[in-house]
Amino acid sequence: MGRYIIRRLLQLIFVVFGISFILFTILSLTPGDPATLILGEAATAESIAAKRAELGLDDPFFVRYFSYLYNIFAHGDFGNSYRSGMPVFKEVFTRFPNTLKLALLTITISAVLGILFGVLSAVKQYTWIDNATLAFTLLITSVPSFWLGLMLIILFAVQLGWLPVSGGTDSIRGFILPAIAGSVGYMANTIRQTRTSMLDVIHSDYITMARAKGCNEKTVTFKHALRNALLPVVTLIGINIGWQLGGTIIIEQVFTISGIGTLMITSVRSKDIPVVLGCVTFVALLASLINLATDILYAYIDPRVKSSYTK
Amino acid sequence: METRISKSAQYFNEHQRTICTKTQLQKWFTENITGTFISSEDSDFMVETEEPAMKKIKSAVALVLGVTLLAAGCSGSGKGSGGGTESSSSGTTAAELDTSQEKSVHTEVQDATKDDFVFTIISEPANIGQEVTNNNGRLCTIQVYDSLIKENGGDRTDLLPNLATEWEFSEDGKTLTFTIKDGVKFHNGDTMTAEDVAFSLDHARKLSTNASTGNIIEDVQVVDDSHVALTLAYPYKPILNIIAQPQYCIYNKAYTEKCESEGTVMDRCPMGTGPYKFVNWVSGEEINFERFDDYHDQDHVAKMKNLKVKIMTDATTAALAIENGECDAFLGVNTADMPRLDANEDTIIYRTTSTGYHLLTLNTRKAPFDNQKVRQAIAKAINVEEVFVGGHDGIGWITTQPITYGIFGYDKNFEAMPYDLEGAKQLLAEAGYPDGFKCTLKVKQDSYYSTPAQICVEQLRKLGLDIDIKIQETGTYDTEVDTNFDYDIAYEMTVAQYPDADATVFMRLHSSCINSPKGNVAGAVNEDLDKLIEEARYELDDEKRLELYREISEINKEESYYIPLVTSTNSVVVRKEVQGAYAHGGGQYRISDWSYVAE
Repeated sequence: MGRYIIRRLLQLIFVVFGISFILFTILSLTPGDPATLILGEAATAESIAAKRAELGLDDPFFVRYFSYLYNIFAHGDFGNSYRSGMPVFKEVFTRFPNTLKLALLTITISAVLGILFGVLSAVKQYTWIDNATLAFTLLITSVPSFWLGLMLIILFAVQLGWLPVSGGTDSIRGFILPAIAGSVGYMANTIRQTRTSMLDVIHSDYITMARAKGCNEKTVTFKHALRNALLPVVTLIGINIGWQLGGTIIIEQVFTISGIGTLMITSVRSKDIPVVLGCVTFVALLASLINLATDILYAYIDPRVKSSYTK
Repeated sequence: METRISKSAQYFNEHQRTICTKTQLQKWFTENITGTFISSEDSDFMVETEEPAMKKIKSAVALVLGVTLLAAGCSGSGKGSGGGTESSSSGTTAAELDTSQEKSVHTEVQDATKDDFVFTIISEPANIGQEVTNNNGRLCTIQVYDSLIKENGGDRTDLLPNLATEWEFSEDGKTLTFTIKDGVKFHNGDTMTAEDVAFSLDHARKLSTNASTGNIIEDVQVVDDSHVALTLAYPYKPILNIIAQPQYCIYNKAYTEKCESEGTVMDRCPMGTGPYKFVNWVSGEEINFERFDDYHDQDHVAKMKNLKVKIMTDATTAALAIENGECDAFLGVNTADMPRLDANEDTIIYRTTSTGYHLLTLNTRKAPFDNQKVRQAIAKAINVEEVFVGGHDGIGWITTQPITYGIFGYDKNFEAMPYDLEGAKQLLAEAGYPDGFKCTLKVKQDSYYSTPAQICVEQLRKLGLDIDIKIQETGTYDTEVDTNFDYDIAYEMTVAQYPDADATVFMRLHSSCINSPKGNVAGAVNEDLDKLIEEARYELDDEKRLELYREISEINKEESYYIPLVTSTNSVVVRKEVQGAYAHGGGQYRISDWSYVAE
């Protein structure tokens, strides 16, 4: 198991290399001049030329790329933002706590409620509970998250005054509405996946055997069926966490949360290449680590998987 | 029974094509036309006359639908909806705006009833200091730093002493000497000296962000303890407007050098002489300031102790926040939210001219736009009032010269090329294109530009042009149009860095800027024009300069290199309790002159 983990960690280095090169190439080749975008509407020819010289944008592509890689490996320096001049990882780590709080709350809501409703729907298949759950899933899948976010703001913040309009404050109150708005899409997927997995499992022979042995329904459902049904659900939740930590841009924009998503959007728009590279590298590393954690979790959910890791 | 009435035939003839807003047009039709106003489309208005009973049924249905739409957020907070047939103050005429500006600048300001003031902006400034490049940065910079000269509230052409008590040009106009105010304290307790002033101005002129204005200043010298002299490359009256900008604010020399030697980004921990001290900057969220009690101008010590500049990246959410009272002022309101905020009793919108105007650019480097008759035909085919009402919701100022409305050099009596579609078609035929030709109009993807651009495209189709619109991402547009000049017609905005005609006229019309990105994008090469532009640049007499800019505008009108359209507005929304507020085209909101007085 340890060797498996080390092997996966070593693969991350190649992931980082690959992503940085692809992204650097895309950002360099796409139209748009960072100097012009940073200087804005009042940019003049002289100020653009001076800014380009200052940022080293006139150097050839490979000079800039290898200089960037050298700074990372020799000095651990991911560069400074073209816009603000601040170190890239300072920008990223200042915003990451907000994204983390939002992600954890969103995933918790979507996972807990998703699994609960999915199990309920499977156990009560073909009843009104099942139909209502499926209809609810369809509804929340269809509703765009930005619209839902604005409606929640109008109702709970403006009309009722229970919660703040904007999110991302120190208090948890600022994250409730964004988490609800962000969780609905993931909740729908989790409900459907849990229901499907549970339906596959509860019709299995060993479940029939468990009932024949006299186990109560609660034990049959949660101890025997759910554990086996969880594997695909855990995969889905792992993927969702990766997406969330990459920053849900729409939710961050609507609720004006200063997170990774907002930072990426701002940086892409102004072609702030160091920040874009830093953000994407950071998110890629996180996503890879989460995938690894998900794989390790499999081993504890299903012992058969653990044995395959040790081979 | 519905009747369609053309507004241009009736209203404009009656009102002699007065600049107006869509709401005023709607109001006029309601009062003067029998029936009920229903809707407006393009240039026509729909008026309905039908049975009262049927109308009641339809009203009931509309009410049910309206409640559903209300829940979908179409009509905002429910305190009152703007636009439609209800009376609304969405959009105001230039005259009303001028008056409201006057009122806000001269209002007596009482002592504040609270210590904390929250000012919301929709994008985070990149820095606070001389390298600012947008209004959000200037808003923050002006709290912490002072310049030698300041603009009088929202009036950008009225300059007042600030850190300098007086100034004088030499006879040849190439030396400008400032007398420095005594006893000015920095936030760290240091006293400002002539050395600090000279260092700051020299530092500012060498920045890449100030390259175009910095080139005008050749040298900065300390004359004595109370005087600093600027040596200019040529006589340049607008240098005073430049010095008044936050980009030329005064730094503490020792502090700046200390930050540079330590590798600290000073723009993130600014320290100046301004009415507020910097406290902290929570990246992406807020920037906090605290009143500076030893401010050099004791008549303008801040009324409110704490200022928070809050960053809310979504303008719709920010508009809801100010309606809810979560912030006291908001810069960056969407046009779509303006009618609701105008109608809301708890909020006030102040408007003023922005620093830029919208225009159409014709690429004289390519046929057939190198033909003067073709360009004139296009100019005549554009109905600027329609673009103003349809594309800008009637908010702003129709602009007739290639100069931002209201800044020095703009003549409010100057008449642009009149709209004349038949005349345009004739000119096009004379130019050899009786059946029109194929071309493309490029515009940035922001609806602020693309909506009025689409109106222009429709108007040019009526002229007979086979024209397509290409809406492009900003970076692509900047590269194709402003750098590579790969376009036929472009819709864009020209922004003046300071409120003087030379800020835009030189770079847009002088032949030396023909290959400069964002410069003479039309490719205008005209010797007479070059001479007039240079003369206006070096002239120190205001009357003579005004006359020269009139002549320049006449040549542009004749040649139609650029078709000026509308100067947009800069708006700020404040809570009704805020006193002393005003809008500013350059983001220079001196919150120290404002107050919050709860009822």
